[in-house]
Amino acid sequence: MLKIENLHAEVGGKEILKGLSLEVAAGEVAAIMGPNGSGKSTLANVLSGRPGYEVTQGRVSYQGEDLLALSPEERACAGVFLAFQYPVEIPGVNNTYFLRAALNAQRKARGEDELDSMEFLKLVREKLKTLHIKDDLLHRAVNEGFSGGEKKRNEVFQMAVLEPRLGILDETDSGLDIDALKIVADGVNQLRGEDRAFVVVTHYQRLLDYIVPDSVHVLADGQIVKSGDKDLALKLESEGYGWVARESAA
Amino acid sequence: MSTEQVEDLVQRRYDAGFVTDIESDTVPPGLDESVVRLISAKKEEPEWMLEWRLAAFRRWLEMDEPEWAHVHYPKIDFQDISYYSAPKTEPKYQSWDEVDPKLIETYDKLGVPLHERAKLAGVAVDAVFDSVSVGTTFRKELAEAGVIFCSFSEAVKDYPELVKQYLGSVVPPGDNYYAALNSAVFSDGSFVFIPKGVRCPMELSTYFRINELNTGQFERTLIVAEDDSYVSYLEGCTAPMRDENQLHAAVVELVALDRAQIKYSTVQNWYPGDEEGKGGIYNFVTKRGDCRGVDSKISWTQVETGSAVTWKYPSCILRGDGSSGEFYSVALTHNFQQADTGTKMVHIGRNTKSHIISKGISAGRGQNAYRGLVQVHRRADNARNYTQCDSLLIGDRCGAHTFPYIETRNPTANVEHEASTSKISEDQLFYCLQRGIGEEDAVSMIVDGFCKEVFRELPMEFAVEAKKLLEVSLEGAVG
Amino acid sequence: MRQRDSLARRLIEQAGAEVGVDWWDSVRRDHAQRVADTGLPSRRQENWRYTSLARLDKQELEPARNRGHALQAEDMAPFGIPDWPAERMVFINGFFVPELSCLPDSMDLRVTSLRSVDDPQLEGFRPLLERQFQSPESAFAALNTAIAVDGALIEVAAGAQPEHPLECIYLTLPEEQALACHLRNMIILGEGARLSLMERFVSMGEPSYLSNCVNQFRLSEGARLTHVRLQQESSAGSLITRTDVEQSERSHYEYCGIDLGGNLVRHDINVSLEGSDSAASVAGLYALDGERHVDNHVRMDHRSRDARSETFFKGVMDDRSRAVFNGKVVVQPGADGTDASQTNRNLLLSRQAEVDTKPELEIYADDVKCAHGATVGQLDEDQMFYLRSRGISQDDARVLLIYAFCRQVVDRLESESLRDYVAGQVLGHLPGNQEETE
Repeated sequence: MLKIENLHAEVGGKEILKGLSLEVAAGEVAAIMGPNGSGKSTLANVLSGRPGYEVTQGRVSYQGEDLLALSPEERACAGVFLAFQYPVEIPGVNNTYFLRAALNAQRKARGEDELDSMEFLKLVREKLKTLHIKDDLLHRAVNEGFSGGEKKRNEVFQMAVLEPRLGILDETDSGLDIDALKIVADGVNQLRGEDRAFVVVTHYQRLLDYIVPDSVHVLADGQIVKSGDKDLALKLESEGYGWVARESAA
Repeated sequence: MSTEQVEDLVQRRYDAGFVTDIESDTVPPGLDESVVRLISAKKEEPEWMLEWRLAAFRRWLEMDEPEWAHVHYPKIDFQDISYYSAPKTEPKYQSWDEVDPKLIETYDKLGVPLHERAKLAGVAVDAVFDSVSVGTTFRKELAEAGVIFCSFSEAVKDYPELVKQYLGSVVPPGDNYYAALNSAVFSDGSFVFIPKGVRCPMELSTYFRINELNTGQFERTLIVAEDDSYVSYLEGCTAPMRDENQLHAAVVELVALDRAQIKYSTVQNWYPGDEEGKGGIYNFVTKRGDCRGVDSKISWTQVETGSAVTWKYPSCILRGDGSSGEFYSVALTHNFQQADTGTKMVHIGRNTKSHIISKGISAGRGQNAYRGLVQVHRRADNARNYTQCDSLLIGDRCGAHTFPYIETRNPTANVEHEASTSKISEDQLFYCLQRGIGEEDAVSMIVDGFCKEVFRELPMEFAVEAKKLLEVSLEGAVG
Repeated sequence: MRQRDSLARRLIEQAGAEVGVDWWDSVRRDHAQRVADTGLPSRRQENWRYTSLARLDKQELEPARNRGHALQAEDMAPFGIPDWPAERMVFINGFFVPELSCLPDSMDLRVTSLRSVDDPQLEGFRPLLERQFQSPESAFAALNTAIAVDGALIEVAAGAQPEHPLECIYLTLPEEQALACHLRNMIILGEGARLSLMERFVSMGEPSYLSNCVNQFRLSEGARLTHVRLQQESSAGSLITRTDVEQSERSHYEYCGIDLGGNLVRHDINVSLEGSDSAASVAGLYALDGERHVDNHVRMDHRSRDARSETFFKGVMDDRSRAVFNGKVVVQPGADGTDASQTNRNLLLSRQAEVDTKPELEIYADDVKCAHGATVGQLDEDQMFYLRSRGISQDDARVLLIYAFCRQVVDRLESESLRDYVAGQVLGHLPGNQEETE
């Protein structure tokens, strides 16, 4: 589904990704782990097309298409969803209105009928219920005045409504208590399926107790330096990142 | 603690208020073309300089005194002022040994030692007494670095081409009423030239002193920093305590070429008048810097504690692409002092930045106004400005005012202005007292904290002086 | 200059006739003389430094006369607001039109027009009509005093709370000549009285005119006035208005003004917080396109203890439009316990647009809480990306964010029906979104 080859990317003239390659198949949950500053968030942002992240070399194909040629909204409509590490507050834009606009834009792009407000409300209420999120979320402005945990829950809620094919979670677990963590994991697990893939970027193994990955990749200094299965994450948790760096240097 | 008690703590002491008994050559009060000619003749100026003055004088005659500032004072009688005064023992001394000991003593008392053995370490000083410069220290050391630092009169004689090229190029003679007056009758001041690529090896400083009764002081400072150069310049001012008001109308011009940086600091402590508002200096000053070159930078820092009336807006013309301007100000008004001060940041070039921090403190019946202009021109893409201006009120008879003007004509500009007003709260004071800190210490601690962002922009020696000055100025302001 | 001064004089001369009430005619003559002496404001006056009246020179104005009209009740239908029942006063070209209006019939809420008021009732408004406008900067108010013969007169009895809001529609119709219309509206609220007022400035066709209106509102103890103004003047129409509010103890004034139209528009709002514990909130939105020039001046005068005020203006400027904002909070000596805030936020969308903002504080008391902030900027890039990353197109995201920016003012309206209506008008007017609703 996703194939990254020799990806180089810069932020503000500084090279962060230095030849990263990675393949994620449909149905797969790939965890990206790595120390701070290794380029994890840069990868997430590059994949979703954030302005200011410049790709200098390499290719990214998504469902056989050149992902890098698409605008951020085209990627979203093609099913790429980024759960932001720092979700943006948009005062004055109602959460429900926002989400309906997003869903209908995506449905339109896929040639499906737009949902009217009744159908839409029915849909979001179902999603809220299955995720155990209170519905006062619907009446508030997008992320405005939300606590850190509420913002992350809102990201997962949006993901549940938009049903992406490729979900990218950028440190969605950071700053969450255990209950919120379970909601996030639930959201991902409910969506898991043969035609979907997830890239879960995280610093800690903790999230992977709840979202069990099919593959684990260690990112260091802009490259994937080691790949393995879920046991790799456990080893990283107990022994830190130092040994990977030494091993890859050797 | 009540407001009254806070007030009681303020009984102003003005340390610099003594008079030096020295024989002076002072022209009689009055102003017409002949006075302008006389000043020029006394300074043995070339013809072009005289013509320049006369043109400015004619402009001035046609102009009106500005009235828009938030200050009130009796109309100035410009015919009642003497426009030139110099210690008799002039002309220019060949060595410090020839300088009248009384003058040296005066500066000693003001904490500015001029004689060679006690010179301020690492600071070159030009001392201006009434209308003339009495001497400049560290000239040799500076000459070796290629830096020109001398009195304005000397510059007119020794570097006429440089003066002709830059004089009036930032503040044209007709810029405003007081600038025109200054251009006609300016007596002395400092001239600084930093050649290409030179980082001035020491702080430069001018110390202005008004001594003679009924004189106005009209000095003129011109600083030119060529490509890739750097200079930090300090200015201090004091005057004796007198019941009459005296006029000080200076002009300062700064020119920064490509990548040059000029840092200009002022500690202004002109005599502020007494507790009844009698006497004090009218400080009507035009200061402007021209960031002419790309990536150039001009930074103004001022601590204004003196003067009866202050009217002053050190400004930056951000002409060069990527240039930046800064303005850091502490202005304190106490008793009957009035200040209308602030800055103008004119964004003309692309990617220009400006930063304004203004701290106004009002005590007694002081009136303190911040007036600032941020202007973004059409082609100033990506201009950025941040302005913060805070006022602190001590007592309920003073005033704090904010008049920001923001004019934006470019859709890529970001301009942000914030202002707040507060008083030293009884809670804050009680908290300090409860921890065992005395009232005065508590107030100065709170005021000091309020001004911190500005003080840290001052060179070390000045920061200490500024802090002390503020404490003295606020004595008795608190309760 | 000279031409404009003669404009004021000519209007006064042409308006001519006396009203036949001695004291009123006397104050009219005084003000006529004053305007003749000072002339109309110029940019040399600080309060007018960003607004030139040069556009008026091109209009060849003459005073409006009550010539009647050919409108039927159904012609007013386009101005209806769904699910929002209101009493209604309609003015056409500066004159009250009773047959299109729908006035309440109650002693609690007395509504009449200046032209038809009887002498005893007029006496109650005399102090307001006799208000002296002396400074050259208030020459338009002086001109209004000299000329105006019509306007809304409203009295709400002590303790009364009328069921429905009162809507004033000022409609301008095209005439052969560009008209100068002068309206004088005066509202007195008794103790504890409440009123919700909606003012609408509209036109049919694209007439060229100048409306010069003065509002004087007097709020007794504990009274509450909600004032909404929706300005949708013709692109060739100029509107100069002044709203003076006098507030007694514990009274509340809430204003929400929306500027969407007009050629040259100026509104001076002067709130005088004379009674302790009074509160005023003045909010405005200007969403400008074309060559519109809209200038809002708000003065909050804290004259007593423990009063609160909020000034909150936002604006979006596109094309070659220009906005001016001037907010001034004055805290008079002794007005301790003042809590005042002032905010002005601007979005500049075009390279030819301009905004000039001047948020001022003038403070003469120390126990006060005053803060202000002003910004000029663009749409937030992070917000843009967030919306796009969810699949919303760049153009839609742009409109959505501009609309959200505007909503913060519109959302202050209490009535849901009114809010929806105004929001719809704003949305229809937004840059890049006009084709969707027109």
